[in-house]
Amino acid sequence: MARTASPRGTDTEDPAGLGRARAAAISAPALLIIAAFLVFPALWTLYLGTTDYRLTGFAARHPRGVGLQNYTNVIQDPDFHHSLWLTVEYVLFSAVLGQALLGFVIAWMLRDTRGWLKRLIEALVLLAWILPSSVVAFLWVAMLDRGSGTLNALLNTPGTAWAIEHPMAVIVVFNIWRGTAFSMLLYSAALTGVPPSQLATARMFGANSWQQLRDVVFPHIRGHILTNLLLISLWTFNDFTPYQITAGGPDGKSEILPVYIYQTALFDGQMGLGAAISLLMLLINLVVALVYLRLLRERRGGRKPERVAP
Amino acid sequence: MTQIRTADLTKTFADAGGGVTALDALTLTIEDGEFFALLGPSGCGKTTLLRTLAGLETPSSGAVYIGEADMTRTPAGKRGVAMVFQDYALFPHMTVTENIAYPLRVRGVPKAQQREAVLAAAADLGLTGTDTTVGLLDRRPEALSGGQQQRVALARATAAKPSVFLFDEPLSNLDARLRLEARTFLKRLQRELAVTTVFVTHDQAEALALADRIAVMQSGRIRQLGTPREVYRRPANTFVASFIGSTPMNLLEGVVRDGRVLVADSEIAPPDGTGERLAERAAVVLGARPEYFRVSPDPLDGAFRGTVEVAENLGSSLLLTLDVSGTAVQVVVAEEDEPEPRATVWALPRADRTLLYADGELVG
Ligand SMILES: Nc1ncnc2c1ncn2[C@@H]1O[C@H](COP(=O)(O)OP(=O)(O)OP(=O)(O)O)[C@@H](O)[C@H]1O
Ligand SMILES: [Mg+2]
Repeated sequence: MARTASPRGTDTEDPAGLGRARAAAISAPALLIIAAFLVFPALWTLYLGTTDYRLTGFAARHPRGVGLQNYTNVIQDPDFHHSLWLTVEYVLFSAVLGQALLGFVIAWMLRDTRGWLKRLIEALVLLAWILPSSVVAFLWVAMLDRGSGTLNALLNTPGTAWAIEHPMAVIVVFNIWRGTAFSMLLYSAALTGVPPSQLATARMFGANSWQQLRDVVFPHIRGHILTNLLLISLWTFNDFTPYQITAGGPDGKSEILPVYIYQTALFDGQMGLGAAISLLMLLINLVVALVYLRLLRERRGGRKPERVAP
Repeated sequence: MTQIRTADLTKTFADAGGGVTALDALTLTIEDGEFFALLGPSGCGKTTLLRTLAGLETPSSGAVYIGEADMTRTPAGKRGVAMVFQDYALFPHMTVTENIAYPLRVRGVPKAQQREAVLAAAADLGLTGTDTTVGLLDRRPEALSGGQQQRVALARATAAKPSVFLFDEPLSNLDARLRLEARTFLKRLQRELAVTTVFVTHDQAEALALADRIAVMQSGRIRQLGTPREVYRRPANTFVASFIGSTPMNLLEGVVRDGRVLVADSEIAPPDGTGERLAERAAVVLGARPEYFRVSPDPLDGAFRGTVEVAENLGSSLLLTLDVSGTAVQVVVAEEDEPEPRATVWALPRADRTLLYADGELVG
C-alpha cells in the first residue's frame, strides 16, 4: 500500500495547533511527575551507588563517596554470584520454559474450542494473574504449609515442608502458575492471526502437528513470541513476590536478585551497596532487552529479497 | 482411477441458533479425470463440500469415497488430494521454490528429487525464467502479482502429485482480463494432467467455460447436475434458470389457454412439442433467454409488443429492456439493430428455446 501523505502535510510541526507555550503548559504536570518519581530516584540510586550510605549509624548522617568500591565489592561477592545464578535459573525455568511454553500449549489446545470450556479455563488462568500478589502469596503459603497445608493433604505426605525442602522449585512453580495467563492470552491473540488456509494447506500435504507448528504457526507468531519472552523475562527477573513465600531462604537457597537487594539494602542497611547492585541489575535488563529487540528487528529487516516489479 | 463419490453427505454446523445445514444429504459421483464445477450462490455450501472431500471437515453423516476406498474418516494428509484455496495460502516466509517443494519436504523426499520436481512443476506453470522473462523461483510470495501467486499455488498442488485437485474459487482474486487467461490455462493444465478436478465457483460463466459437468447448488442441495450445455439449455428449475446465463433469463408468469401461453397480455406459442400435454389454465412460468428472441419494428405473430425502456451496450450486441404491458422483458439485439428510444417493437421468442415451468420445475 502506498504511504498516504498526512492530510495536513504542511504543519506537521504543530499538528494540534496549540502553539509552543500552551503545549508546554499542558505537558508540564506529567513531566513533573515523571521527573519526581522516575528520573530523580534513578539518579539518586546512581549517586547512592558511589557512597557508603547506610540506613542507620554514622554513615547514615555523613555518607562518604567511595567511588567504584561498591561495584568491585559486589562483583567479587560470591553471594552475588549465587544470587545471580538463582535468578537466571528462575527466569529460565519459570518464565521462558514454564510460562511461555505452558501458555502456548494452552492457547494452542484451546484454539478451536468454543463455549464454556474455553471460558472456564481462561477465567481460571486469569484469576491467578489478577489477584493481588500478597493474597496469592498467602494462598500459596497456606497450600504449602507443613502442618495443615492443602498440598500435603492432597498428596498424602504429612509433614513435608515444601518451601524449605525445595525452595527454588516452589517459587518456579508458583511463578509459572501465576504468569501463564499473560502468555496464554498473548498467544491466543497471536494464533487468531495465523491464516487458517495456510494451516489447512500444510495439513492437507500431510504435515504432522509439529511440522504445522514449525512451518506455519511459528513463522507467523515469531514477533509475538519474542515480545512475550522479552516482557516475561524482565518481569520475572525483577519479581519480588517469591520473597513473600520463601523470604529468600532457607539459607539463601531462593535468594534471587531482587530479594538479595532487599536483604542487602533494607535488612542489612547497606544502601550504597544495594544501589550498586540495582544498577547492575538494570544493566543486565538492558542487555536482555537489547538482545530480544535485535532478534525482533532481524525478522523485519532481515532476509527479505528486494522487490522486483512484476 | 479416481472417482469421487459421496453418499448422503450431510454437514451441520453447530451454532447459537440451532445449527446451519451446509450440506443436506448430498449424493454425487464425479468421474475419473473429470473437470467438475460446483456452482451456486454465496453460502450454499460449495466450500464446505470441498473441505469435506479434502478431509478438513468431518461430515455429520454420510460417506465420502475417493477411488475405491471409503475415506470418510481418513485424515486430510492421507487422501491424496490437493486443495488450492481462494487466497492461495502460500507460506509468506518461504520462497517460491520452498513453497512448491513443501509437499515433498513434508514427506521426506530427498533434496535432489525435490529440486527436480520443483523445476518440473515450475516449468509446467511458466514460473521459470526464459530469455525474456525473469524467473520467479527465488522470490517471496509478497513479491508476486496475484496471477503469479495463483500459478505458484497450482505448481505446489501439482508437485504433490495428487489423484484429486480441489480448487476453491482460484480465479476470483484475479482481475477480469487475467481471469480469462488463467481460465484457459487452468483448463489446459487439467487436460494435460488428466487429474480428477473439483472446482468451486459462483461465476456461472466460469463454470460453463471450464467444466465437463456442473452441479448447481442451493442451500446444501444439488438443484441440477449436467453438462454445461444441458444446464444452459434446459435449466431444471427456475432457480437454475435464473442463475445461469450472463444476462438473466426472462421468467414470466402466465397461464395456459387453448394450447397457448398467455403472458403479459400476449399469446405466445408454447415450447416446441409441449402444446398438447399442458393442462388448461395451469399457472406457469415461461422462460426465455434474452438471446433467443427475434426483434422487429413490424408486427409479428405470437410476439411480445413492447416499448424500449433501456438499452444497454454489451459490445457487439445490445440488451434492451422492453415494457410489455407493465412487465419487463429483456431481449438482446445485434448492434446494428438498435431501435429508437421508446420505440415500439415486437419480440418473438424462439419456440425451440423457450421453456415452461410449473411449481418451479421444468415441464416443457
Ligand atoms: N465453520 C463454520 N461454522 C459455522 N457455520 C459455517 C462454517 N463454515 C461454513 N458455515 C456455514 O455453512 C454454510 C455454507 O458455507 P460455505 O462456506 O460452504 O459457502 P460457500 O458456498 O462456499 O459460499 P461462498 O461462495 O460465499 O464462499 C453457510 O451458511 C456458512 O455460514
Ligand atoms: Mg466458499
